[in-house]
Formats: sequence, structure tokens, C-alpha cells
Amino acid sequence: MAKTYQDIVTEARDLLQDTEDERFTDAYLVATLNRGLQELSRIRPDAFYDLYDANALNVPLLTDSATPATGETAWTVDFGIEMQFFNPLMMYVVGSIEVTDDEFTVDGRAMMMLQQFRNSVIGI
Amino acid sequence: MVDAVFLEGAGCECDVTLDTWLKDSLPLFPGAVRSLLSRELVLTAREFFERTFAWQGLIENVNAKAGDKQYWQSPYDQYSNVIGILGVAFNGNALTPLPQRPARNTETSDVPTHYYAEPGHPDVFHLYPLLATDNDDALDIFVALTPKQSVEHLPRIAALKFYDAILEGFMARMLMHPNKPYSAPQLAMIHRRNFIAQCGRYMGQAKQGYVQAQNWSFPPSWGVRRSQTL
Repeated sequence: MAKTYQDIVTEARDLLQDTEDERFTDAYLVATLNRGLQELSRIRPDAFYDLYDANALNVPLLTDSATPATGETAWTVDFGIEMQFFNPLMMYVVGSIEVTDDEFTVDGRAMMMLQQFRNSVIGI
Repeated sequence: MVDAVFLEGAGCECDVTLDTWLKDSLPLFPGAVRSLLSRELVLTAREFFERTFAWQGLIENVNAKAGDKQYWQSPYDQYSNVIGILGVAFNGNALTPLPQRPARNTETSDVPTHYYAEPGHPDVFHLYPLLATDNDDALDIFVALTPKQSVEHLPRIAALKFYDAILEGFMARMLMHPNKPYSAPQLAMIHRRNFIAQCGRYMGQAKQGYVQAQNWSFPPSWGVRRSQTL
């Protein structure tokens, strides 16, 4: 079964130790994932090669709403780019959330995750 | 007013999948987007054939039409386009290429002696003197071909004869990509030099008509003098 964008959030919650959805809302995690997609499009525009149309990368703007507005994409749709970018995006979400988490913050871990995102997409 | 005559029914042998190259290049491009790889491969093949004219074909039995006509040869088929008119024969007799289009030429004849290939349209030619009457199945056209940008297959000759040349160019294009896990600009330049050298080698063979003739003997359009006019 194909992975969805929602699976990124679900797997990120595992690493954030928030499997009960108590510490972070879905909307917050999806917003972070959207920033990750934008960052990915900046440093690896070719990741969105198959979505390119009308001189635009068409980076998905995800929403956890069951009724997406015009221009938005439901987070339940299939992960629309190559699977090699799934794990880096999950690490981006975890790293970004850890940066803002003032309750259990481990700065080194956050930086490591964000660095790993970058290394994964532009390095070996 | 110049009318147009379009090509009807041609054949081609584009049966080589891109996988032939893509699989061999797997170890070289970690983190590459697969669809982008396919695209770069097709662009490399197009560049190779555009540089070399090494893929040639003969279009036979084309109807010749009376009057001033443009003969359009593309698309050759669903996979390929014509990128050069190498020669035209009328009822089996080779015509002489003209370096420039005769101005205000209205002379007519039952047998054309010259053809003019338009530089602005590499797949188009005219006959001179203008034909007085239609002549079915009279034209045979030697052409240089290139794969269309949309193809998912390349011609047999690409794998049979030019496999390594295209692979070199393909690797050069990919390794030149900036800021990717597989970026290697210096290695890219080595492959690029090899590709250019291979292009020169096969361009020479193509000019010789693949019979090791002196390369000014074929195709005739490459040996024409500018003063040679009607």
C-alpha cells in the first residue's frame, strides 16, 4: 500500500513520543511538513519533476482538513514524489518540532535531525 | 504562395528501451529522480544525433506536386523527426542542392534538377525548376533523424553502434547537475570530452556515408559552393 503524506506525520509522532496526539496538533505538524516540502523544493527542485506543470513546481500545500480548499491537497493522498524523500521530510518535521519544543527540548537532537534532512537530499 | 506537401507513411525501428542505459548508470546516480534521468537520456540522444547526423533514413515514393511546394518531412514517424535533408532524388536521379533559394523563380519543367533545403526548417525542401505537373511516387529523400523529445524508446542504432557515446554524454549531463548527491563536475568534464570526441568520430563516419569515402562526397549539401545557383 502506498505511503501518504499523513504517514510522515504519523511516523514523526513516533520519534516525538506523541503517539497519542496530545502534545502537537495535526494542523501544526502538517504546517511544518509544508515548510519542509518548500525547503525541499528550494534545494532539490528536481524532487518535484513529475509534478511540474505550467512553469510551476506545484509543491503540494497540505491540509489535514477533510475538505481541502482550492489549491490545497489532502494529507491523506499518496506521497506524490519519490520515496527517497519520505524519510528526509519526516526528519525535517521532527527536527523543526524539536526546535520549538521547550518542554523536552534537546537542541543537539533537533539540529542533528535538520542536518540529516539536508544531508539526505544533497549528499550521500 | 508556397504550398506544403506532408509526408505520409514512413517506417522506423525505435525499439530500444531507455532501461538499457538507465540500469547501467544506476550505481553512478544515488539520489537521482528516475524520471529526470530518463529525460536527460533522451536529451543526450537528441544532442548526439543533432550533432552527428549519424542516424539516417530514406523516405521513398513521395508524390511530387506541381508548382512551388514546400516538402515537409517531419514527423518521420511517432518516434522521430527529420533534422536534415541529405539528398533528394527525382525518379531515381539525384538532384543537386542549392545553397540559397532562387529568388522570384517561376521557371517550370517536367524534371527538376535542383532542390533547396530551408535552413530555417531543417526538414523542408523545395524543387527547382518548379514542377509543371504532378508526378506520383517520384521523390526519394535521404534524411537525418533525431528522436522526438517525448519518446520512451530510441532507435536500434543507438544501442547497436552508439551505446557508449550516448552513455558518455548522459553521464556528463547528470554529473554536471549542481548540489546533488551524485554531483561530480570534474568527472562530468571527462565524460563530456569523451562524448564530444565520439560525436566527432561518428559525424565523420556519417559524412563518409559509412563506406569510408572521402567525407566531401556525401552528403552533397556539405560540399556545395555558394556560387552554385540555378
